[in-house]
Amino acid sequence: MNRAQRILRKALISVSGCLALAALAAPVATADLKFEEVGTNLTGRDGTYSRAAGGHPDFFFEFALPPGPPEAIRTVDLDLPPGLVANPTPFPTCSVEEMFAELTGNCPFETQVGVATVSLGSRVVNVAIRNMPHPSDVPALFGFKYLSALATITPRVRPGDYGISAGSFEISQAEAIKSVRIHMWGVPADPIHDEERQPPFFSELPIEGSYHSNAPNVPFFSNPTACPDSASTFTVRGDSWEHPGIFDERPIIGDKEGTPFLWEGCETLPFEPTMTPLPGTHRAHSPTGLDVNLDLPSNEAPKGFSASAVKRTVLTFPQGLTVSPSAVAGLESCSQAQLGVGSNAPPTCPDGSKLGNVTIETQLLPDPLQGDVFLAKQKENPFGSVFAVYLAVKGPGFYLKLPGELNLNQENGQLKAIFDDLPKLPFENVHLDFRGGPTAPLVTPNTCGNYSIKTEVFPWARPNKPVVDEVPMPINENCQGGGEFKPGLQAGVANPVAGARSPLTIRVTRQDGEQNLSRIEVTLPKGEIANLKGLEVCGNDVAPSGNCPKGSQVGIATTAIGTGAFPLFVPQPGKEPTALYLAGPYKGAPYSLVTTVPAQAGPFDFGDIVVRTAIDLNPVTAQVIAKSDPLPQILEGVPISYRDVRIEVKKPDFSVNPTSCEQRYVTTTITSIDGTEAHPSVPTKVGDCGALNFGPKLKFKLKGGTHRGDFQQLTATLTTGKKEANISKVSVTLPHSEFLEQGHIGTVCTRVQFAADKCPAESVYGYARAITPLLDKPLEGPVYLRSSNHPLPDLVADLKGQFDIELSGRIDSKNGGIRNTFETVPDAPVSKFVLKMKGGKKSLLVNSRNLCKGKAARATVHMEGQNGKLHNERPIVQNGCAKKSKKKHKK
Amino acid sequence: MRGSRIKSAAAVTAALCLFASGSLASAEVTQEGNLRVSFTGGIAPNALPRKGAAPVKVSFGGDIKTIDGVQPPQLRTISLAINRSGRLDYRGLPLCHYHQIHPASTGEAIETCPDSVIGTGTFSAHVALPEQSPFPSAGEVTAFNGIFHGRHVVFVHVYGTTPLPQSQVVIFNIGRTSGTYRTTLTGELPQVAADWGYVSGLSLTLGRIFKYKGKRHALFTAGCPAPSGFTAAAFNFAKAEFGFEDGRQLGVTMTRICHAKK
Repeated sequence: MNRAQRILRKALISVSGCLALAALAAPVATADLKFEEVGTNLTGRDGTYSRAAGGHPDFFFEFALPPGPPEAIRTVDLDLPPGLVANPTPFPTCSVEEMFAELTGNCPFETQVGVATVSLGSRVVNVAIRNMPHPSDVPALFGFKYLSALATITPRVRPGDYGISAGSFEISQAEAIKSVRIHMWGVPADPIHDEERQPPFFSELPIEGSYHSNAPNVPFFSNPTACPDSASTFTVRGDSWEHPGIFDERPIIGDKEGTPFLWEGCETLPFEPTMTPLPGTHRAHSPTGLDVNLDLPSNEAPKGFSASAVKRTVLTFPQGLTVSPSAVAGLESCSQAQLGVGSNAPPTCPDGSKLGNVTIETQLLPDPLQGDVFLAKQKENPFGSVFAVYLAVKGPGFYLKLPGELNLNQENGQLKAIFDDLPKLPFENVHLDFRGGPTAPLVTPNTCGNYSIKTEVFPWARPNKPVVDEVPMPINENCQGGGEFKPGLQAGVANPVAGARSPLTIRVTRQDGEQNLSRIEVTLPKGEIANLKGLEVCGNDVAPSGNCPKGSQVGIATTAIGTGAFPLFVPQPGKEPTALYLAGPYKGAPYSLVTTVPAQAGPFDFGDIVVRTAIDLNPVTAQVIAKSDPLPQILEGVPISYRDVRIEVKKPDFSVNPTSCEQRYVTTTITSIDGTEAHPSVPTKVGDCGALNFGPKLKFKLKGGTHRGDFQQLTATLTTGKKEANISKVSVTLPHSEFLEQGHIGTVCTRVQFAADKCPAESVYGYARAITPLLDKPLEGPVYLRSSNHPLPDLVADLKGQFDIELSGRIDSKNGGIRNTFETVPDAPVSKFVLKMKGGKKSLLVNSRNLCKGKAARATVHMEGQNGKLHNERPIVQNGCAKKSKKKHKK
Repeated sequence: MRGSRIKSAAAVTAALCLFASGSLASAEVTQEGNLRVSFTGGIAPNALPRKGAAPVKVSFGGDIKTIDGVQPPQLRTISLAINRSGRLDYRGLPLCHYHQIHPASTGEAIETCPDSVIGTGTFSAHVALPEQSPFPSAGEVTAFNGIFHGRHVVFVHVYGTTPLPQSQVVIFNIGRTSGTYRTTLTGELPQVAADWGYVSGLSLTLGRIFKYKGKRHALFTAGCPAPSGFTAAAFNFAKAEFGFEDGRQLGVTMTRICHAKK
């Protein structure tokens, strides 16, 4: 550029200007500030416009105020499109003191980053724009000294789109500014600017002279690295001292020639990111933190192009590496309001919501930016998702507040972390460090193997062309136990006294790394039963929802889930215990247990999970069998690794101990998620059986004729006393006077028919009724002859009621008498039991002699108590002879 | 249909009679299809007067089985015809009534009708109930001189305690025919006994010496029809026939040898 050109150029510049300052007197304001003209442009070295994405053009901004007594400009503020950045870091700075040294200033050439042309009406001055030291609350500071005043340009990072705005505020009113033109150089060290440099001790640019700058030959100004279809817009606003706060705002959508700011050439921008996520451990089934490192080489070539900024990152973790429930305990979350989205105010997220740290190194700033990773509030986050995080990174005068979505596969818990629409700001490195330790947010897979994490980094320049990589994630330590299934079992009663009422606890545990629990089936020992008399039962109308009445609560349930040394207990300490309710029929069983687990932990609330367990009774042994529904395996994408499932049946007088002191077992069938079954069992034993009496009374009565060949209706009535051991075995031998009347045997019920509850009517030979103090209603039902493994069919009382009981007696003969032996009598209290066999033509018994002749017929009864005590007796079988005898006597 | 009816396991025990000889007994076997019956029988003693008759005991017996091991069909009828050389004499023998011996144990029945006992024996059976393994049953057989509905009959009282105490009485009607076989005994097994159980073996020995009007009588008497000059003779001792539920009738004629006493 020759001198004439320079003069002309300076003349032109004089009609424009940038942030101004210093004037002597403020004109009288007559109206709001109105720009007469505003404009911006970006030009290449040849002076033509530059829209090259990532290029390093010179930047121009100018404004002019209308002629006449102007408003005294107070503020000029310019919003740059996102991604349009200046990088002052490589360049030395010139302090205010240096700028005012010897009145003219003594700033090195290397501090100059542009030229400001200020028109003051009578005069136009061209001065250097210097890179200045900046306070810690702004990312940079530029300034130029005009006359004796200093004008500063203070950039800042806008919240929201993280574009740069730069403004001059509280501009001096000393002299009325007509126009200002700012020219920021793309590459300050470029010799093309040598004739525009302001030497030390010059108050303005010399008319002539060429000065070399030894500043780093790197770009200062850079175009965005995104090429959206729509043009970018600059926005300028200004107000006056006379009307502060009343801004004239003008969008600038193109240069003077109307060329829009539409960036181009994105397809060639460099983009070579390296994303390295590294879990904090190589141990299987262990809580782990996570380090994520994202490197993005910049391009400092002055005539090159900037590397594209990162638009989106996606980390897809391998299946098995999941969110750890253990991390939730004590955790808090951060709301959007606390994060302060849309403002540069410091976030007020609670410390408890902090999951880790983040560090960002950007070439735009000399020091790394530090920040925190916060857990976002469930659902109330920009994604409406259950899981999300916020990165809150403090910069000079701004905060980057970046939400990231944690997407969990609802089926398998596979975790995907997505950060999208990242700021169009360049950076060289981002480092996320999620805390490790027992409450680390992640948990490694159960089994060892060579896993990998898929990384996808999307550039703003080419949003659909990510750089994809697979980062190895070997899990090769702590491999033992992986995939096995050896659940533990603990069970017992608090008061192990025979026949006592005592709380019952059952606990199933699982070690880290083992297959997860899926179903739990528990069979209680014989005699460990429940007292249902008078108990309120949760109806099936409300049981599915878990809203059971308080009166139906029989215990509590506690569950621990998660991995590592500190699993998450639900409910959490201090919370109301999870109630265990007795509910109505379920899945064919007469009763069920309802557990309403509040899936609430830390900041998460997944509502209530209702788990039902069918409660049935072995009809032969009366053993309680509890079959749980499949346990929930995943909740909102978080795999539920059960560590401890504990049931405490503690309603007073509800749980009743056996009256047998023999060692019995709590047996289980525990099924893993893979279908593997384990059968841990625990011996249980109560004591003090000797303190229980045993003396049931059994009476027999025959109703029918007394002659040989007469058929008999037999009624057997058993009664027991209080505080007696339950009956274990009963054997009754009828007197020889009674034969089987085989002609009355209609048919037998096969076991298949019996199981299907389809015994033919002809197989019914009597009726039985049992009264127990544990139930509200008697158990009663028909008595069948049923096929058996014995030589003869069994005599089976099919008792129905609150539970079904099948009392099966073996038929044989002993010393010529018909004997019936109930080998397995449930260890349950029965206050009265009546067995009434049919008489007449349905009778199975026929007199083999005249009952009224000879000695009174006696039955032989052998009874054994559950406590081992024996009780034998030979009761007289009552018949009609006594009545006949009385009649005779009366006559 | 079998399944819809029953008749208990024990029913089997209600068996019947058959006759087999003691020392003389040798078996005649007959078979139809898979069903095989071995008949035994004879008289004792077998040394008999050439002329006239002497008291004897007559034995009959039979074993029923199938050659392929399947359950045999149930035995429904038994028919016996005894050679005319043997004579049945029950005049003066006390009569027993059905209700006196049934239901009753063997002991009770004998105690009730001690003078009517005309024979003893055994029975065996197998019971196959639905869904249960077949099991054996066995008991005592006692024959009584009886009267039933005004007719002179032989009550065959069956009693067993395995598996249960029970008794059955099979009524054998006494008939007379002309020809080789003069005396016939025909019994029908109770229906109840036949549904689940099947008789596998029976034996009964008939014979009784009693006094009537001061004279000694024998229930059975026989002579040896040996031709002059022969010391022994072979003769058709008896003809037996078993009728089964599937319609099969298996019969056999038992030929025995007697020795003529001088």
